[in-house]
Amino acid sequence: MEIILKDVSFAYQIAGQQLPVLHNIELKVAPGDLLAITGAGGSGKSTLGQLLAGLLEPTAGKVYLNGIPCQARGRSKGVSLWQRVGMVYQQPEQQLFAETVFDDVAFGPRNLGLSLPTIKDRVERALQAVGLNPAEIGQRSPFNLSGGQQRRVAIAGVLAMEPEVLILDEPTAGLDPAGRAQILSYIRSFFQQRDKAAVLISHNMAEVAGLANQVIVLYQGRIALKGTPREIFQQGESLRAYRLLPPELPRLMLELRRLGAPVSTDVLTLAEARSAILKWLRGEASGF
Amino acid sequence: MIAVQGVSFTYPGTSVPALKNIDFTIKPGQYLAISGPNGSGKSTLARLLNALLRPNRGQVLVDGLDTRDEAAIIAIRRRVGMVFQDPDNQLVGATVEDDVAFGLENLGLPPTEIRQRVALALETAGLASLRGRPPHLLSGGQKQRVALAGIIAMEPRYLVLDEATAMLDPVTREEVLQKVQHLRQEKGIGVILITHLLEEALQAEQIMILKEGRILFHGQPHELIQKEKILAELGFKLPATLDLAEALRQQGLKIPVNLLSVEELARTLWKLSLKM
Repeated sequence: MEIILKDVSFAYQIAGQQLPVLHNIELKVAPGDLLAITGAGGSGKSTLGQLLAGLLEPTAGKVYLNGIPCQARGRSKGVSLWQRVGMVYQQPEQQLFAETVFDDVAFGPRNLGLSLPTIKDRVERALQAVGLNPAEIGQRSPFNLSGGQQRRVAIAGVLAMEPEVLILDEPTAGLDPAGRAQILSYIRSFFQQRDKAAVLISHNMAEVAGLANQVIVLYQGRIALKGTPREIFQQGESLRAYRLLPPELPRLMLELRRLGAPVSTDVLTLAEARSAILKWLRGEASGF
Repeated sequence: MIAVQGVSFTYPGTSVPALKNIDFTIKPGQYLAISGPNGSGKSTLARLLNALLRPNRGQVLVDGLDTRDEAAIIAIRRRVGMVFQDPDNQLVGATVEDDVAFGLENLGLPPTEIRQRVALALETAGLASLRGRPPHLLSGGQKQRVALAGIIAMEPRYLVLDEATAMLDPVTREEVLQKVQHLRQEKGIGVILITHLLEEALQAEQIMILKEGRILFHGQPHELIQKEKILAELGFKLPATLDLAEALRQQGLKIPVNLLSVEELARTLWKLSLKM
């Protein structure tokens, strides 16, 4: 599934007035992409995620799914291509509602009118995909689970719809480090399947650097920067203008540069940082 | 001073205590970070500090007022301001400005004072340009800042931030925390910051780590970063700077162990290079 936004703008309507949020967005998400959308609070990240998921209708411009112009969900009859796009909202655990974990995850597949064995199979695979044991947890109330487990159940509910594109809005916010690492590893294994794509909305730069292969930076409703994590984080302090900070290691290299050290700033990993620093220090030392 | 003395708490209908035997104090002007896994009791502890919950055993005293004393609850809640992670449950006004003024109107303050306090709180939270916006048209992080502004306007003596910066972008988070620091230093507000981010916790004067309802660690940031067992147990990854410093030490570079920030490590490396 390929999603293309062509010259898309969006404005909310309040009391007869327009509140513009996004302007002239050009964006493509194709299989194999793990696109991170990042930017300041209020820059339009969540709105863009909802446009990509067909949950909002653009005020101007067009959205194409596999080359076909599509209106937002619920605006056209018949089987919609949007079924192949899944969205995990911010704090999705707040939308858990069923008496058991099984019923919660089964809610979407049931609405597709699938047979009971198919539903059961999908629910079990979705729970396993987020590291939960269906036999152990399926009949428990979702409300007695830990925050991290609740979030995984909510994500399983979207995975059970078997989307080809998975859009996640701040999926790790508020989780402890162990919970965060789990969610990120499930996103990675989702995206590593054939023909899948994921969109990660996040302002955690370390997460973006470690996971995404494409990054866009939104600023005041426009795409300000676009590139690989490496290209984006080499921008250094100028990212601050978009209210972002590079992860710590690129920031350290930029700080050393600023002090006058001739070190490479093309650094994302610990090994790269260590070798760049040793090369600099020992290179100078060998002059003795 | 808030004094938490021998406090245990069990939620009704459960058998496992959410908190066991918690003891600590926080004075005006102090800065304490509390961290620990989801379910370790952090939010329960926060709710005990302003009498949203009351201990089953032990006591919580806020400037000498006991949270179990019904008659003291209003005074306690005015002293201890709380901001939670989920802002949607905390916003009531039709506009950002109304929302921030809401609590003040209930205090019966004169209108001029309300206006001044609202203006200052909006400025502190970086919301001045959004004052007329309805809260439901704000981003998650902007809503969190409205909730924070509403509490700051109340001028509490102690400020409890329960994951209240989780939705903020990095620069806004830095700015909000800096402004909270100014409030702490200028007005002597005691700050309790509940966070999952180790790099955020390391900025506090004191860190307390909870696990399964007990205090696993209570001390200074530089003490915590040397407790490898505790960090591993919690799944805390040291900030990349600290890992890098360790990797460079193993290569024979003389780098002190108490460096916490990117800037400190950069300066140390620069000085090392000058000696080589």
